[in-house]
Amino acid sequence: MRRRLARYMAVLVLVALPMFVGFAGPDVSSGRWDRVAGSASGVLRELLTTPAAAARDENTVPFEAYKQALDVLKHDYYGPPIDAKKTRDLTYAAIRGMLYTLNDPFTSFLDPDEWTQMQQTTRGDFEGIGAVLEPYGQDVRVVRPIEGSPAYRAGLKPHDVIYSVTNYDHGAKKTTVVLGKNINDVVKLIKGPQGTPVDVAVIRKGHSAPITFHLIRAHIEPPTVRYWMEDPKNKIGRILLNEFNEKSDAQFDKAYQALMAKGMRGLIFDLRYNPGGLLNVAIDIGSRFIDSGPVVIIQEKNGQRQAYGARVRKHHVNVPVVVLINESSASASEIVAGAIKDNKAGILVGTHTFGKGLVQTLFPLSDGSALRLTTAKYFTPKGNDISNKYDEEHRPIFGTGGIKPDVVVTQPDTFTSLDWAEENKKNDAQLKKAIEILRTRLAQNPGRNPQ
Amino acid sequence: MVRALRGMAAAVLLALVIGGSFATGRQLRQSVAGPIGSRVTALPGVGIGAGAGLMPGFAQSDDTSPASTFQDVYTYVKQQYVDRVDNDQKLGFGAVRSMLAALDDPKTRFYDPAQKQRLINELAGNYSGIGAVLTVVKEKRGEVEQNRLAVVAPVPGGPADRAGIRPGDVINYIDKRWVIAYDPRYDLSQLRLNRANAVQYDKEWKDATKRLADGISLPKALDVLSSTQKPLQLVIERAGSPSPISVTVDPAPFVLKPAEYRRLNDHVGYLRITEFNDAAGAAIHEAAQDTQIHGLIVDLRDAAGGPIVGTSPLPIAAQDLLGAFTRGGVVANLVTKGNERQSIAVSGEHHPVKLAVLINRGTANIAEVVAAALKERGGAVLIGSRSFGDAIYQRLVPLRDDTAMTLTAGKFFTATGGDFGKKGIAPDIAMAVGGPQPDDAAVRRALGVVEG
Repeated sequence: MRRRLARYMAVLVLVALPMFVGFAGPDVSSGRWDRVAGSASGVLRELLTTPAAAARDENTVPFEAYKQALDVLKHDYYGPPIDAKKTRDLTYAAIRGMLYTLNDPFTSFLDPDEWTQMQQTTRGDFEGIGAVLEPYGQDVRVVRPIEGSPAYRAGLKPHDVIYSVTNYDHGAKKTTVVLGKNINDVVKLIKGPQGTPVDVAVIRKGHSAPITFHLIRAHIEPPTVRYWMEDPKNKIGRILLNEFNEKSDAQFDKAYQALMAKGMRGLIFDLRYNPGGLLNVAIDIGSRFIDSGPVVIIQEKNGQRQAYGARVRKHHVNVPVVVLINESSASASEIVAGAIKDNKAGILVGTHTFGKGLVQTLFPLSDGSALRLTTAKYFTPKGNDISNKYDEEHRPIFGTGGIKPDVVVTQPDTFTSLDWAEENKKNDAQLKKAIEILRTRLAQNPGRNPQ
Repeated sequence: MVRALRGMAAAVLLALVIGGSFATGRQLRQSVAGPIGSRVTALPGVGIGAGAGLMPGFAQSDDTSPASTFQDVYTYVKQQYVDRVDNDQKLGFGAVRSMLAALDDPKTRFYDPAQKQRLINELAGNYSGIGAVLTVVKEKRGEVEQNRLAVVAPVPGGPADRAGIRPGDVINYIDKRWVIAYDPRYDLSQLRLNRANAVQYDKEWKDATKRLADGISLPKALDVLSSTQKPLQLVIERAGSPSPISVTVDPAPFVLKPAEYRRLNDHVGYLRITEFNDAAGAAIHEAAQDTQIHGLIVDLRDAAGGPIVGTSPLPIAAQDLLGAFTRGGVVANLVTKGNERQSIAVSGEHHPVKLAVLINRGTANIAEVVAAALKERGGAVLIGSRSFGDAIYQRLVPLRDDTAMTLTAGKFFTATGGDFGKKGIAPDIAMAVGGPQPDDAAVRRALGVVEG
């Protein structure tokens, strides 16, 4: 479990990484908002010239402390020998302990295995079966199959618990029962090159035996934005954003225009379970909701704050907006939600957001490990710090950070799935509230012309 | 108190998990086929695949030793971390604490200056906190390994002793906070076969997560118990007791004489030793000088041992005792790193008296070495119940910046090579006994033995 949770963290911060890398914006005073663009090169140069190794000091206090204790162990420890591998493991533990004192859950050390796995996960997942998975207790289950993917066509369903995975390596069939396995290990088994076969057996409610699906892996480009007319009668549209990547803004624009073409009069913008993404994309999308002024304020290590302002967008959202947020709306989601709230550009409904106002950078290290370090903070346009405070045992103190919704709606216990299928909507109290607010609002302004 | 504070604990990592579990909890989605991957479009910028080759200075360096990794991380933290980091000592303490915890050896752990001072005080008999020697016991329950906080012995006459805490008690709750022994979400595997009810499963998951979030980590629990000045309500589990026992311990700083000697009658002396420190020497000398006695009762009940200060594996007080009341020569054996065996010998003027030694579950470590030596080399009769079974030679090693570490430095065997690790030492005359006192049934029984 410990390992598993560590992996979730890895994924989360990966989300935050591009926020830093993809960011190269002008100073707020230049007024050239349109050039907040995602070029990585500027930051890359910065990283390349970081003189870390050159400035390395041999006689620092932490190093001496670490070395002294390690020497005691090497000379006198009665137990398994402190060999090269053990020394490495102990050193990694020491590094983690040093970082732990920063009391920052987003700063961490990735050993070579973790670092490799993170890279594999991120590189390899364009080819697979097309199912979004989530940890479910000890196991792994399907959130939903991605439309048009092999998993979708074969008939995998939300809530299917992955029972076993069968791979065919040069004709040799190998089945692994994955109950109780780490989600990353399960993902690794399921993923593979386009065109190769894989069998996935799932446990489905109402079936006494696992159901096996024979799948051929494919190249998959899942939409990061999904949309539909949630309430066709009242012309209330809904746009769901999974994350903030480079395609998100264009896809959002397309979704918005498509809904407007159908006469949308109110928009539900769903940022629940959105863990974040690129900073410049957050600014782009945030800019669609607010007229002027900053979307977010970034504070670098030197304490200097820079405001990154709204860009003039071709398609500005100009229907009433309700933003859905919850405790898993993080990072870039909080930037957008915060900008909308501070500018009163929409009504926030749901639960207190995650509370992560920090940007991490990944530093690869010489022995194949990596350091993930918090290097900047951000604030909402009104200057609110959204980062949670943490107690002495590194547990977030809820309510000390995050974005507070304008209308707090907690989901009932019957709400158990991240799948937005029709059957789950009846349990989605937050969605119901959003619709109710927009209906009331639209009823008060029946003549409003969104154009 | 936690004189020996032998428990390290699932420690820092456990706490990290707690932090991490809130990061996104179970809600974070991961895709087999993709959403996350698309983020990576920006990553080639940092040369994610290039790894080490990226950084100038690293690229030219073939120094990939763990030590240089440590230094590089430190340098990045100092230069790049969002907040100013200037407490280098704190970084160092964190590093050593976590490194030692990674050995997963309750006897090897780090003491910061405050913890070290408390330990030194306690070894001298000045106790604070609840007044009990604690240890972390690893216990496998089903598939789950649990780290449980157990009492080796209450300090005789101290707050825990007065509250009725006994050797072997396991502390499960401190002021209603669960002492985190394992990740309770493992329990959910029991529900795996019964997962038809998703609502119930989700509720159980939330309950388990809350239990973990509201719990107290082992290192923190050890610290609280050793330093509290306020009364604590403890819920303990005791072998033979069907339901948990709730006790309130009202701490008060107190001083315990590590040893005391008195005459029970004209011919029999009673020597109670709780701690083999230098201050115990006076009482031991008094007993050794008492030429009037024919018999001696050595009461080692609730003598829980603790890390050994100095270079000699056998404390001077123990050497003096064994020098006076055994035939001398080899009194114990010690195996250290690399399976090096050494014999521990003592010499002294033998004071041949009939010996009875009182032991119980709280008799641990160096007290067990002494009890075995008195039996094997002094003809003592052991009375009471089976001892704790802690044969580890644990040293206290001073470190820089006024810190210290305890170190598993070897394992004791008796003079005849007997291994009392884990199983303890069996009494010759078994009877139920409590803590040390000069006039209970065990002492009367011992009196019969040495006078008979």
